[in-house]
Amino acid sequence: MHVESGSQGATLPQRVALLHRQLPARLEAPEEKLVMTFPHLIVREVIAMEILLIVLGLVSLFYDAPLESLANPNKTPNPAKAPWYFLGLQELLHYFPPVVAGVLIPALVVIALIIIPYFRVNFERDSLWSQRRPARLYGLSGGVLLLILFLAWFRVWAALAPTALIGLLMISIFPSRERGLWGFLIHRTAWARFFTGVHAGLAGLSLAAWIMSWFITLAVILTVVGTLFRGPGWSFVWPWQL
Amino acid sequence: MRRISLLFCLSSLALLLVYAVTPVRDYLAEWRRYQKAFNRFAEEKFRQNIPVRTTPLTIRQVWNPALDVVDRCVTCHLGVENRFLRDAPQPFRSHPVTPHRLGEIGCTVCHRGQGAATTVRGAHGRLKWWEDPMLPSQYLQASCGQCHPGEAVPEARILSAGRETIRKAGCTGCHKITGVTPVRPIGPDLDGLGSKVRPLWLFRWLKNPKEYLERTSMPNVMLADEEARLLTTFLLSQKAPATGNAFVADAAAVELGQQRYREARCISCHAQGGRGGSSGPDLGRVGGKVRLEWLESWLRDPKALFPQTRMPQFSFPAKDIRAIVSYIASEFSDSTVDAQQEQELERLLPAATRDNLAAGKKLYQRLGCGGCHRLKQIEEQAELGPDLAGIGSKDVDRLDFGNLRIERNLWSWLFTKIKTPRVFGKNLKMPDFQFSDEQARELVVALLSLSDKKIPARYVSAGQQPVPLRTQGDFGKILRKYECLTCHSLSGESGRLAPDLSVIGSQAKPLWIAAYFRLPYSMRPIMTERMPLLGMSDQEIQTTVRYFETVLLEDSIAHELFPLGGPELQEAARGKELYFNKYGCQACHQVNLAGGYVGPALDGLGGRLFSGYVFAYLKNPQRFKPAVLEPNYAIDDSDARALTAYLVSLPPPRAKEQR
Amino acid sequence: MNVLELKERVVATPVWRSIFRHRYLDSNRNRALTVFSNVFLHIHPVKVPEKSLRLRHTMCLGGLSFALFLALTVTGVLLMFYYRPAIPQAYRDMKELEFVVTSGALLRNLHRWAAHAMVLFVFLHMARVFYSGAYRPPREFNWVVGVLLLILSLLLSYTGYLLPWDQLAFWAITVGTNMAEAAPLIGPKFKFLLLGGNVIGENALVRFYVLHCVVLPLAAAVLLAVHFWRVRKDGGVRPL
Repeated sequence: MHVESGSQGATLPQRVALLHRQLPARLEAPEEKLVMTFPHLIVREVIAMEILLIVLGLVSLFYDAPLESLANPNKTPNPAKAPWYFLGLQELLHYFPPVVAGVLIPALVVIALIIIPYFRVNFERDSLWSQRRPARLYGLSGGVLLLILFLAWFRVWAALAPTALIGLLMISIFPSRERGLWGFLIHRTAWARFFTGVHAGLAGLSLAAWIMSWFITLAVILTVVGTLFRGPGWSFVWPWQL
Repeated sequence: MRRISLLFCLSSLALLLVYAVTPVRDYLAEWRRYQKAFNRFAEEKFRQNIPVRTTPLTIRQVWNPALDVVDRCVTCHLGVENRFLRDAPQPFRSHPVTPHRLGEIGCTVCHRGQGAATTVRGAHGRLKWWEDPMLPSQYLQASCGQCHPGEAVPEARILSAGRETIRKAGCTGCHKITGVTPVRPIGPDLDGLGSKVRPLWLFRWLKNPKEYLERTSMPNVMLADEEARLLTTFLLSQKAPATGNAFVADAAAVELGQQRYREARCISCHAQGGRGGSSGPDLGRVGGKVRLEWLESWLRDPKALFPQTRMPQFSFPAKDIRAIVSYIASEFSDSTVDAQQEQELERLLPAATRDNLAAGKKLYQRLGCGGCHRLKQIEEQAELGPDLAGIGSKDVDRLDFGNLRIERNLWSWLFTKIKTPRVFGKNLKMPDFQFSDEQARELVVALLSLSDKKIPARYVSAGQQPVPLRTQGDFGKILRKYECLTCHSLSGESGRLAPDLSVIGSQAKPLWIAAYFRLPYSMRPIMTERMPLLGMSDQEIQTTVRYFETVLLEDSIAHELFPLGGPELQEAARGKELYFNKYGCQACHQVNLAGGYVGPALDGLGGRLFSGYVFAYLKNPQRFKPAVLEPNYAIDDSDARALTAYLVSLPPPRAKEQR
Repeated sequence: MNVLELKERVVATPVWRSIFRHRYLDSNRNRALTVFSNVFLHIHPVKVPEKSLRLRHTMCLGGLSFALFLALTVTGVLLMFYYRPAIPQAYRDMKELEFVVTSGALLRNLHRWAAHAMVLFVFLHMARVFYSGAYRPPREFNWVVGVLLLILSLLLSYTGYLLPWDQLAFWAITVGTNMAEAAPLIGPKFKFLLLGGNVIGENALVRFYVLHCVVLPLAAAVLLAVHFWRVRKDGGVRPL
């Protein structure tokens, strides 16, 4: 509910909004310019679709879908690989027991993804270090350190490196007040803005964004390693040796 | 908005273009190009009055669900069944003459490759993900063996030769090979070897058997000197229970020995330094091999020492045996060995201690000697090598090429394995058979024929299953005693050196046979391998001849063609005319020492053969001897009768020519 | 009679009018009606903010994922005409597609590459939605539907992986089902249920085929409908 008061006629009308705690935070946007869906939106959608089909058609003309020899249960290829989107998991299978890599981790990932919109921390738009700075510093550094130790214990180097890198990056911007070269790089540069999609650059990322970025980086790296860098017996090979 | 509209137009156009390429690509498919080329070719041929029909542009295939065949090879190979295109360029050339219906069985059953494909690369099958590439033509006969299992296929010479080699080389001693009945043991029993051979010979034999006997089927097991000496000690410890007394050569008897050796025609089976028969081992250097006392007991009764031997038991008196042994000792010594070498070896040989013998026994087992030889103290061994069933379809990925850089395909691997058995890695056991390249290729063909391909029963040739021979009783004993089947065959079994005996009772006259046993002579002027003088007893001869005239008959042939008293002179005269003028038999046969050398001499034929048989033979020589050279002139009945009349009235050869 | 006149007369027929209720797109009213009265277009509002036309706004990732879903449906249905889920026919049919079916190879290539692309695009779409904060209330449920759609995309791709019945298919599915088997208690039972046996054979092939061609696409279609409907109901593509 909201109450509009117009006591002082001379001044601009003011609004006093009383919000219930449970009410989702929602703001009426100011009047914006609207355009007709047809043709403005539809034509853009059609163009996007056509470009997709063109690219797909070209790829299909020049690259044949793989077809190996007839399935033979007695002839195990080495290595036997799952489809590429599961190779991150298969890479983890190399480090953890199957029940962890094949069941626990994917289940946790799915659950984590599903519950994202139900936690208040994920709605924060404030940047990571804008509030409760000391508590967050200790909490996050401790968390990252634990994670690194855990990954080191299982020798998951492919996951440890990006974890450490992102953790370092996260903590390295803690003292920054937009000063010095580093501050300049992470606050102002166009690449930082483009890369993070947040106007304030790297420093503007919220905690949730940091975690998601960490997850996506990990998923991509593990998948790439599993797809391109694993040969017979899941040993490390270079992609051109595959 | 204008920019967007333009973009929309462009992307729509591009989309249309991209998806219009596909039908064009289909239209430009490889096989269409070949069919168009064929049609041009066909029209040109047609103008030259050669009946070659053009084809509608379409994918053609041979479909045979029973054989699991969908072969589109004929989409491009359009002249396969057109006999006018024998010299046409590929892919339009016609298939060589074959008894098989190509339109029914398709192509890949024999040639392998990917029948479903319609591209050159795909069809010929040298692809990473196609496991069954086309067989090179030199190994093509392997495919014959899929439908003709385990038999000799006369048209597939290479395959048949390979199968013969498998049988003879004793591959079945170590490998299980479908279609080849294991011949075991292929080598002699080794019990009593210590009483038979001299140590130096044994050592050198173990090191390299072919050095002593070029034709031996014993492979080189590739022993180090150390191992060979250990094995020598172990084998020498296998003594026969009753060894004769030391034999002392009798120089005075050498001449008699030589005479007996000649009379018995030993050279028919045993060569001397390469000259002579090949049924038994070359005796040129046998003096350096065997102990003379063993040789003496061997000549007395070979079967007592080695039951499987193919050597007949000659009924020599003891005096003659001593003479022959003395002759062999003096004549067939081995110049490459001397006493000094023998002493040297004696010094180096490990003592026959219990440990050494146990080690020797272990070595014997590890090498798989039991695959070919029997030794009483060692229980029969299971196959040492892998089962070769399905080897012809073996997946290349499963072959261990070691670090050898050879072509990664099955036939290269097999060829290399056969030629150099231990080249692919360590701890391989297969011995070196020292096959020639040609033999190895034949073997590869025979092995490739053992494929996994499922052939329905109606396509599998039943082959000519020989009727199992069962000769029992007195005749059976004689047959085995004199090892007749080393040279002769009976119902298609065994030897190929001498005539088949299956219908001998309808062919030859009993009286002549009996006389021949007592004093064999050669029918043909040029022959090294001849019937030996076996020294059969009268009783044995009688039994044999009786068996011949009651059992080994062909009922469709009458014994005598002419009434009692023989043919009329008139007819015989007409036959003579035919013999010399119409058929020109003298080109190959001799009468009264005049004529060719290819066929046997015909003097006294009437005393030897029944006229009924001569007649039947002239009508169709290949009926009784499928491989005989004599041409089938399709002689009509009256000519054949006249010729028979002439032949049976020929007088016997004059006494001085008779041996 | 020129073409325009002919067009005029066709458009004026009762049959035409029964299909397309409004006439030319000459007025904003008619343009609105086009969207409003078209079953395919009405998932869009009649008007959208001009800002949301910008490519940066959504990168069009969701739309392209849907486009891929449509492309996969079309090529998939065409492939179903040539495919038999049996051993060894399944593999043979792949060869037929490659060698004799007109444009068969292209059809299979399109389906295969589109499937890979769809997994990628759905994942990117999820990342975009996250970074632009579009999961915040009141869109939290649609985020959940989106996660379910991501899982469905993976499953669709995975079940399709077995169908060619080649070595790649067989062993990829072996690895995958072995991972599932590791689940405590239900793992082995689940694997048995999925494969219709203890090993990957013809039963598994039929099950994967039915899942791939019927069950999962239907589920995805239903969830897609919910997803799009919620997009509209929860406030379109406006930033919150």
